[in-house]
Amino acid sequence: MLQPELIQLLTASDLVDLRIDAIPKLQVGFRPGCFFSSSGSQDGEAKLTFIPQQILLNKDHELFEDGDIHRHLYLQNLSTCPAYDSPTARQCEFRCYISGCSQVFSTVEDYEHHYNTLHRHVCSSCQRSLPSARLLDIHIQEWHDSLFSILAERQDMYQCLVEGCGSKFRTRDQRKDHMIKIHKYPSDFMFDKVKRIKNIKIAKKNMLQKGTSMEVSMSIMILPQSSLSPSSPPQTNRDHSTTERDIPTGFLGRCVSARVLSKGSEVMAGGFRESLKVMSLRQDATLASVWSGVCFKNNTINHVCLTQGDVSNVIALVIP
Amino acid sequence: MWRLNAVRHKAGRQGSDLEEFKFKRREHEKELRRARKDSQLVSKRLLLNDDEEEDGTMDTLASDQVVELFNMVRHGRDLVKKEADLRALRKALRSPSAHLILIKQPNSIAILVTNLCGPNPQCRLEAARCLHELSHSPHSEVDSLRLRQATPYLITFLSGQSPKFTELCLYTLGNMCPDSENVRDMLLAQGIIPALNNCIQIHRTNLAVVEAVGFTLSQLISANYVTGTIIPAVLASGLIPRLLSVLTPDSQFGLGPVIECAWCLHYLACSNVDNGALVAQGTLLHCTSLLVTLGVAVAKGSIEEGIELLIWPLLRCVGNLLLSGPLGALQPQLNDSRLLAALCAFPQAFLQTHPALARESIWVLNNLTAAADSSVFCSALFYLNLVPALIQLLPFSHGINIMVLRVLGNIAHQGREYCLHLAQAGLLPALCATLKMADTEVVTFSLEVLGQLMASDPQLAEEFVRQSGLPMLEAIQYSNQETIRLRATHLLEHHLPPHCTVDTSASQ
Repeated sequence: MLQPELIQLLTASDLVDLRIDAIPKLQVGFRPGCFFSSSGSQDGEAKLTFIPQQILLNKDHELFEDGDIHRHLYLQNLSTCPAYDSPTARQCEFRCYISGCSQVFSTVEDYEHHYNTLHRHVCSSCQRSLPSARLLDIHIQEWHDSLFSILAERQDMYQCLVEGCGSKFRTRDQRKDHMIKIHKYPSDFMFDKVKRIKNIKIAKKNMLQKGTSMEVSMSIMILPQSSLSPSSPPQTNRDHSTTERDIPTGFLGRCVSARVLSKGSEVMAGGFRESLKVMSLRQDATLASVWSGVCFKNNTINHVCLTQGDVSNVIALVIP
Repeated sequence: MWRLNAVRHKAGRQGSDLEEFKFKRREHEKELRRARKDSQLVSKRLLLNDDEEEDGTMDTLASDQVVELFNMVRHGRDLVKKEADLRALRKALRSPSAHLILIKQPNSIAILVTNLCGPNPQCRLEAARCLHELSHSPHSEVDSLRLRQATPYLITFLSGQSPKFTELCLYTLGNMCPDSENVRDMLLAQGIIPALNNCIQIHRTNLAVVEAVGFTLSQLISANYVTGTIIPAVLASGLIPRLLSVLTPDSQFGLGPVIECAWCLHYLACSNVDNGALVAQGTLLHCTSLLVTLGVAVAKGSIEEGIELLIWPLLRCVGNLLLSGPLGALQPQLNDSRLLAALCAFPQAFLQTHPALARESIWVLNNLTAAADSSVFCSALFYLNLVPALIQLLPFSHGINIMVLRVLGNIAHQGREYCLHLAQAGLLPALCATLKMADTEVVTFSLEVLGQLMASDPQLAEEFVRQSGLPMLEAIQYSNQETIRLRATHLLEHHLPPHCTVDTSASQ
């Protein structure tokens, strides 16, 4: 419980000089020009307001409550050994501060994973979350830059999404073809941004939360190679056109099942989460191989917490 | 220590008794918290007598039996018989219902008082015990006002020689103190404070009596609406040095007397009437000395049962006395550097059992590090390598991390050297974690400390960026809590090195 250094310090022999005035004093003060001088901040409207302050607590202060209660239990003969029923120190929870998110996590790692997955590389115009800085740049350029469409009329502006390729194309379709032909992306790869995805029948049936603030709810079901999930939709043809009712099939034979709920949803499928993590790190890998890393657990539908932008993005990459 | 011995005995019962006991305790605790919120937190103590079992059966007599006993006492002439009758009456009074019956009898208290002062010592003792039972009565009709005839005598007997009798008188008076301001004024006027002073002097070797004096005094000064006269009277009475001399725990007798005296000192210090006088009489020195002793005991692993009951009031007393004057003037009384080690050791030892105690320990550190001339203490914290121990407390809520952040902020405010040392001790990664916590106040304090660190030296800002701290600040910019949003923006705009951009694609 007690650290060894502390123990040593307290049980030091009498030969050690323990006087405070024998301890060398560190130099006080800041460099000239430092924002915080010892006389206080020079900024007229300082945003940082902390000043060291001694605190006097009177008898009835709330900070003294637990100690007082303990004392009176003792006086009234009701104290027991502390193992019973005492309040124990709680570890702080962590919260995502992105406005509107406000999820709470019990460990830093969970929080960091959440943040890295969902809130990095967010487009400030449409709130879509992109898996990498580069894709964010491309997204902003293609969708929010008015100059882009003007320039695109005259020159090849649509970049290949595979990092390191560098090729540019005059139209989105040309880029898509390039990625399928040269980079071996699957033909049911979705290249177009899908902003709004209307309810699919399955999604309606499976919609969990009522009164969700999200405009759309969408359920992607990709059929498993080996088995069908109980509520799987019928297989459709591979079709490059994007329709709302298309259900993507057999992406490399692997499957993932995801449902997008509104911001309240919490549980992330382990495999799906893994894949998003990988996606954000290995932008150069073909998405096929990335998605192949996804594991599907027991045919159950793994609820995934994503923003709307994320989902659109995922679909853009997966669904034709 | 008779109080804790009683407790241990109770805790030793098995099975459903224990569950019931725990349940009762939980309920009781809730009641006490409610009472405290209403400023009605009051306790009385009942002294158990040798010839009774602790939870002995009460012979609940019928009311006419009680009346009969009392009449025998009233009219009896034979002292031996009277003694027996008084004893029987006393036993009957163990049952609260008998209290009401007794006080309805005409002149009941006067009769008891007569016996209290009578020639027979045993009768005196039994009469005192009767009054003691009444002082502990749960019935509001049996209040101090009703018992007030007895007080001048009880007070006089405090200067008597019989320890057992004196102890009874003390606890009876102590039980009467919290009842009303009128009672306290009356006791004051009747000279209770010089009497207590005398008593503790006469009986200084009898620790049971010393404990009783401590208890009574604590009841007198802790009651609400303490008038302006009580505490100055105590401070002027010469009681302080006597209380201080008790502050060396006797290993055989136990902590009882020290606990009571420590709580007295706490109540005196937090009233802030004349803390300079307290300090001048050596209070700070004795209390810090005892805290060091307790810290050493805790370090050695010998955490005695009830030790927190002693640590608590000492921390509070020291914490408040630190504001009594410039820290430089107090330093001679604070010269043992082990005090700082003890203040860091208590949170580690009591974090899981008594987190509030951990918080108060850090509060004392705040008061040591927040004064204008705190640099010597801040330097000492580094010299003794205590800062990592503080940083390790940052994950804990219950107000602990906020208090720790205050202390760290105090240290950072000392100067650039201090900030560099804080960074060396590992503060920056710890702040990266606290910036993510759910409690907005924690985040606010973290931003303040971080701001101070980064402003003091650009290499700290760079280090923060290396620790991947920037995404946190960016994230906080999106928060709907204005306090942290403004601070985060401020830090990003003013305190980060110019080459550092908001886009952190380079950092992972």
